[in-house]
Amino acid sequence: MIKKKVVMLGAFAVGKTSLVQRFVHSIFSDKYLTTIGVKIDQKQISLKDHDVTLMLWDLYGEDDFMKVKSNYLMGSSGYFLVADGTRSETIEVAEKLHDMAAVVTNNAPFILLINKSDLTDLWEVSEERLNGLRNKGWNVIVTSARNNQNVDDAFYALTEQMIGQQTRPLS
Amino acid sequence: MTEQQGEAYQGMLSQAQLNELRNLLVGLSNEELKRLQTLLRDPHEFAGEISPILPAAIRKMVERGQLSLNSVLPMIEEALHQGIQKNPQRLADILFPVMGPAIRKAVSEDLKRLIQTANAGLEQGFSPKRLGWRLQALFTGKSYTEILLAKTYIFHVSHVMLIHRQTGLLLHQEKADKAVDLEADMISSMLTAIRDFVSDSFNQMEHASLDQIQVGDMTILIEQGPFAIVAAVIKGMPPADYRVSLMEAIEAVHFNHALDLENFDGNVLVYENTGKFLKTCLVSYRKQGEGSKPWPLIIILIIILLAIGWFGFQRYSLNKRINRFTEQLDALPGYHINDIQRSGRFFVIRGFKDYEAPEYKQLESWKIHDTGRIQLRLDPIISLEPAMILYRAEKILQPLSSTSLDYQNGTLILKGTANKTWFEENLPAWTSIPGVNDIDTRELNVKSPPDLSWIIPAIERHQFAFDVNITTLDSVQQRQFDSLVAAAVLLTDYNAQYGKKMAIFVQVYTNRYGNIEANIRKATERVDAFVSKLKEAGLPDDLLEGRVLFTDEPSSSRGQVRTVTFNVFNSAEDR
Ligand SMILES: Nc1nc2c(ncn2[C@@H]2O[C@H](COP(=O)(O)OP(=O)(O)OP(=O)(O)O)[C@@H](O)[C@H]2O)c(=O)[nH]1
Ligand SMILES: [Mg+2]
Repeated sequence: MIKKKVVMLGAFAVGKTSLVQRFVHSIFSDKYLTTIGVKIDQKQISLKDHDVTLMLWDLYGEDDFMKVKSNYLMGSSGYFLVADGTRSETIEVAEKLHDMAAVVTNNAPFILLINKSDLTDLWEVSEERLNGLRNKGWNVIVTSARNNQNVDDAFYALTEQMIGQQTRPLS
Repeated sequence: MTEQQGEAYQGMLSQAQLNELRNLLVGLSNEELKRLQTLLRDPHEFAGEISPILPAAIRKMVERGQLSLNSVLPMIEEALHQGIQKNPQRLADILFPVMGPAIRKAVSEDLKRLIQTANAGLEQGFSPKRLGWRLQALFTGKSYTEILLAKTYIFHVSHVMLIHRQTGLLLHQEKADKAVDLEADMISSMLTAIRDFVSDSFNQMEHASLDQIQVGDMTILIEQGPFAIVAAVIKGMPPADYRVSLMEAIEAVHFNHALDLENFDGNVLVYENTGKFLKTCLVSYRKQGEGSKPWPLIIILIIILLAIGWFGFQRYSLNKRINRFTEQLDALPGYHINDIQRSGRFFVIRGFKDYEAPEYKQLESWKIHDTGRIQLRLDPIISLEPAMILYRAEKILQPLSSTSLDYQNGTLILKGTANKTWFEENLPAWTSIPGVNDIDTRELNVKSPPDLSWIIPAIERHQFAFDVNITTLDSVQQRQFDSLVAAAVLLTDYNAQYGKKMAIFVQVYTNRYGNIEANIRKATERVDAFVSKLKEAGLPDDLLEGRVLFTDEPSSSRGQVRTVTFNVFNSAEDR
């Protein structure tokens, strides 16, 4: 049995909580209940060789990312940077959060999720922007918690990265 | 090899080595020479080169006395000091399993002190329940306060969780038998999140720790180790020393899984066997329900009371018996009891006893079943107490039953009647009675002894002849009858004075002529009639005995048939 701590990082209202709820409980709500502090959920998933229990730490989003304290990140094996595709400034927030998270987690695996892909009319993020990020070596996935697009894939992808990183130095 | 040879050999060896070294130096290649030169010029390089051999060299120097430890120690201390200042956590991690027990000891010392203070405050309280607890303390050897605390605290530990400190991941959990399943994974993450939140919000100190969380009547106690924490979910109020159990558990976990914890990668299987440490923290104390009584204690109490009662009664009745015996003994002539003492199982009775005093074993109070527990220590004396003087006088003088003895102020007083023989033969022995200085016989009536030689004829000379069918006395016969009675009274006096049993046959003769049965019947009737007459005159029963005698002649020389005659005999001998 393997257990992993995963943290959801991102600006407020980008859909961190919605993504976790979709993944863990297969539900979605249009209501916005901002998260205070941290909300924890767990989900057990099966990969080829492993059963993994994910402890999902859903953090509150902050405009001022400096206020997100590193404590919550400690000990996490991987993290999601969540941005809202209808608010391009949330990608900058994600980038700044990454600078901090990479240090605290000692370069743990992460994936950037550009959420709310169902809101195509309001979409602000261009393909070039995404490619730019991918060229930095980032794994970027466009998701929709509302339409359940790429949600499970994102979680499985990060888990596999975490397990891979775990077994690599051992072998 | 001798010592001298040994030294020489050593000297030779070092000489050989020097030669070898010289050869080597001469044979150095250019690069090697350059390397050596740079080595010597660059202190950093040089230090790097010699550092591996330095420890051995220093050790050698110390062994040879070329370097004293005292001169190096300050340096080492300084180095350690700086090392710790740079990364204190590292040292704390290393020391944790070692220091845990010491810390725990300090805590338990504190606890003891707390208990002592509690003692002072609580000892005064008293109730039947507390009496029970005190008894329990007596029987179990625990301190009363310990029991009191245990009884007062109600608490129940339902879950114990081992949590990885940094990730907040649950490593292992143990739960009480009937406890519900908790989402322990969630709880442990949340606890960690709360901890993070707390240190985030209120405290900048890196190692600020969260020790306790209160949720309603539920308490979560948290004990931190460097890599893992243990959390106990508790209902109610745990005693202060419960934290010690948690400390022990977390120490044991660190001691057994130091590497696993340090290199934790999410694999929790290896923590299966920490269960045994966590289980020791699954304890519960239940308060004595108000309704339920501590029956075993009550029964023990009753048994103790019964035993005390029984022993008390035994003691009381034994004491009573012994006292009664002593009193009776003291009252016996010739005995003086000074004191009774208990010595172990025995009652030692001390005093004095006249050498001639009566035997005490006749006392009915002596015949108690535990006389084996009485030890008499009576010193022999000659007692001059009046009772003993009288007892001795009775023994020596052997007075008649008609004589009574009394004693006053050295004088033996005799009263009643006595006969002359006793008066002349026995009484003079009074001089040999200790304590008797004089005798007083003024009220003693001394009679000359009645003499059978004249009493018997005075009785036997009488005879009464009756006509057929007549038993009444005529006037002449009546006078004779009175004189017979007077003579018979003398015989009773004689009996009384000498303790004899002389008696009188009242007899009638008959013969075998005619109807024998009728003759006997008539004779018997006549005898009975005369005996009754004599008894009516006041003579005692045992003095008289009627009998019918046969004579072969129609009339005998001793009197006619139908004549009543008298014959004196000793009823104690012949019959
Ligand atoms: N259309 C659409 N709306 C979404 C999606 N995901 C989230 N939302 C909405 O966005 C709002 C915010 O969602 P949350 O999941 O609460 O956002 P959050 O990042 O957890 O916000 P904070 O906890 O305040 O930081 C809610 O009204 C959601 O319904 C999505 O994929 N599509
Ligand atoms: Mg949220």
